[in-house]
Amino acid sequence: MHITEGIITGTPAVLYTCAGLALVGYGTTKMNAFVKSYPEKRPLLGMAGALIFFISLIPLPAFTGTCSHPCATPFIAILFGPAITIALTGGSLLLQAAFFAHGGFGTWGANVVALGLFGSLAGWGAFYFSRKIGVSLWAAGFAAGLIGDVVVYMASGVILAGELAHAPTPQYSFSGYLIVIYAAYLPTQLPIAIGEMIITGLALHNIQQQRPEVLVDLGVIKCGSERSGKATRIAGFILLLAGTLFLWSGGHVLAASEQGVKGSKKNFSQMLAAKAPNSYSGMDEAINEKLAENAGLEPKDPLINIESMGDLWNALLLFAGGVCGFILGRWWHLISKKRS
Amino acid sequence: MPNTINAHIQDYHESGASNGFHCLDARLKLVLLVMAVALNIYFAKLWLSLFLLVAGTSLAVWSRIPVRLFLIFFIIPAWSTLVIVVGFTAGFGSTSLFVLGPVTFYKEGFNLGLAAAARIGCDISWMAAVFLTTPFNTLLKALKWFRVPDVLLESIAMGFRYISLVMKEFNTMKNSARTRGGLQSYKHTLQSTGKILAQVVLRAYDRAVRIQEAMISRGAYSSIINSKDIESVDSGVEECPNQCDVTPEYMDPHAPVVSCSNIAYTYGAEATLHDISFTVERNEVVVLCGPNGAGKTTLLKLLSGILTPTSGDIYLEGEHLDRKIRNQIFRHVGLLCQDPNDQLFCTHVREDVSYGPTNLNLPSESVEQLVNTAMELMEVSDLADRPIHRLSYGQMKRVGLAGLIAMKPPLLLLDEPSANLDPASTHQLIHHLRHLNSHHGYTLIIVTHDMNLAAQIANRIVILDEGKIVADSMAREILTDEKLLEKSRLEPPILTKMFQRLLNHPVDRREIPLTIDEALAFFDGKIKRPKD
Repeated sequence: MHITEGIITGTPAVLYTCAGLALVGYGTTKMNAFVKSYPEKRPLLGMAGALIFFISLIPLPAFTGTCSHPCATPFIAILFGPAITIALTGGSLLLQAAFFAHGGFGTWGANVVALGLFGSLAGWGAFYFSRKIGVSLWAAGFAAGLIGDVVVYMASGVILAGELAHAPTPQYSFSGYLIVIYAAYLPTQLPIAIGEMIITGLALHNIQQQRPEVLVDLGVIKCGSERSGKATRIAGFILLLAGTLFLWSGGHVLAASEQGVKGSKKNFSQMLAAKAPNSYSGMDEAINEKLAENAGLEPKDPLINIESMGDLWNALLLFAGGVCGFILGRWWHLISKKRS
Repeated sequence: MPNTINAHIQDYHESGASNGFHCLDARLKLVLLVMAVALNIYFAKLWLSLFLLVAGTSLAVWSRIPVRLFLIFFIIPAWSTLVIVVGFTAGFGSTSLFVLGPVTFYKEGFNLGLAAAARIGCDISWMAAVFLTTPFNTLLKALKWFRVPDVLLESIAMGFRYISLVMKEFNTMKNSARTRGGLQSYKHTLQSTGKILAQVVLRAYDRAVRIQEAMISRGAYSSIINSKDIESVDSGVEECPNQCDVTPEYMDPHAPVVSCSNIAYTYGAEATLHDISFTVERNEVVVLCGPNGAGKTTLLKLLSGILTPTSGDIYLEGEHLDRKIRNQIFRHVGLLCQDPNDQLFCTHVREDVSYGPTNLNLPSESVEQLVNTAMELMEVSDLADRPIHRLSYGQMKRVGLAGLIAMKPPLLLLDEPSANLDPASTHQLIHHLRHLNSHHGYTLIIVTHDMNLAAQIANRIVILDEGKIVADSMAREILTDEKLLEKSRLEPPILTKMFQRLLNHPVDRREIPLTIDEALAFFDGKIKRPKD
């Protein structure tokens, strides 16, 4: 999840760029130390740069019918460590901005923080914690992929919400924007997080099956057989999954419980909490009507009044929408004359 | 789409345009780019963004960048820009612009969205203007001047060099999975992607090891104090018609170029090579052949100092190959890897050819002269500014050879040089190898299964089988001994095989032609006698 160019401006942009530079600088010193200790592995860093670039461009299918890309930083952090991964992410983001029109220079620092720092630290941390408590390699990879991706998504959301909440004349507070951003990206990011979880775990498992010496050489596993203790592993894995879900919902809870309402800005959670006149009222009555009243707008009849059309018309409308969606999904490539 | 953009950029760089912004120093361009982006992002004013957008576009017009190419840069951000404009319009402000169902769009938000779109347009226009007019290798040099750490630049350069190869490998495996039903559902796709990703990582790991070997053989970790401590000796070969100055300098003209005595190499518990003894004299062309797993490539790695023999001694030009000589091995030996992608690890052709001579600590003028001569000799001068990943396999092999002869090592070790080449490229390669041997005095040791190549170029053939030398003789002796070749799972050249049948296995094997010229001479009644 890249933060798009042009969103972050002013002092935050400068601060994020400085943070990005400092992080990449720190990663580079670690790379130098690595090269000094293992001069024979110098080209490995270059190949790691190619890998991080490549994995972040692997198309992953999402349940919504779209495709998007994994973060790659959790997996690379498992193989090469978080500090080196941060530096490589910085380089990779520069290349992506310059030659592949992904991200941009203005949001480079923010992307280094979200993808590099949070992605690699969360992925690496989850992996090593899992291994420490005796979880098998594939399960630890699952945990790293999932938690790393979710944390990148959450960090990007926080960065974006922080920026939007400080823009002139905002509609919502920080927490309001946070919920809007999380809700807007949830349909694509959740399947991608699951996809990243599976491919990270499977890739580690397959490498271990084929060439365990490579993982030993990279310091991912130690020589000798895998530890036993199935029950502990399963318990640990469930604990990690639960932790991820906690992190996931925690973001929403935190956002919802945020109390800082400034001026006329509306906290989304407060709007949700505002009880409707009767317990069967929906979104329109509880939120939109209130918003319209506050903005001084009078209620109008909807363009398509589904309530007055009757069930048959509604069913036909639904069916027509489904057919159009199918046609567009099946033959969309004819528009661009290309099938990817 | 990203790959398409990159391909368009590369094509444009190779077109050699030299107008306007193209002529400006890359360092200055980078400074201007950073300043434009910084002003645009920090002040975030619509008028400033529009002004900078016009300036960036003017630079593109001044540089005569094709409009289509310039606009390609705007395609990917276009969708997100639209989302931003709509999002800002709906999310900010108090003055209603219009209402669409439950969503109200505000004037202030629209202005904010417009300003954001202008910022994006401005940054993209500057990026397009700078990156379309500056090749990647020039950018790297500029970043080096700004003291960006080498280790970071190296990894960025390698990322740029190998990303297309990694993607190609991934897509090839993905297509293979697709044809075998591996992508038929979400579950299958994720499972296959996990398996393929593991392969990609393992291949990248192995490639890193091979790149390391290629770097060592090209003097990456040498510590040369005086580059002129080698006494130049007359090579005593035909003069090059092009007067090319890439003739190697033999340290001792009387000593054999290679001398091995009883060398053995053990990998794990298994002996890969044992009791290998042979000598290669100056200007010889020796072909090493044998079945798969015979130890041919291991022997090449021992001769090039990448591996150390478990026992026995190797002498290069009379000097014992010990730790000291191993650090300076590139003075004696140049190794052409089987896969040129392992050999060519720099971003562009010129950078790669100059990698070795630069490690020799020669003055920059000498390096440039050597690089130009080597590229001219290998017919790759027109590819000098092309990124390596855009070369064909045959071109890569020639660039690899140019990189070696630019260092002028007397002995060239070639691992399967004709593998994966089309017939025309193989002919071209043979022509170049013959030229290097006959006009410049290079000694060649070639590992190959291609008996036609051996027939055309070899003076002598050594057959390895199960880690031992089973035959070492003149090329004609070996190539006409069908039983010996069959025993080593090899075959004589098709022409030789045919004449053996035609002449009903003659006693004098010297009668059997090995090449087309000899066959024609045979039919003319003038059988060429072998050189020996």
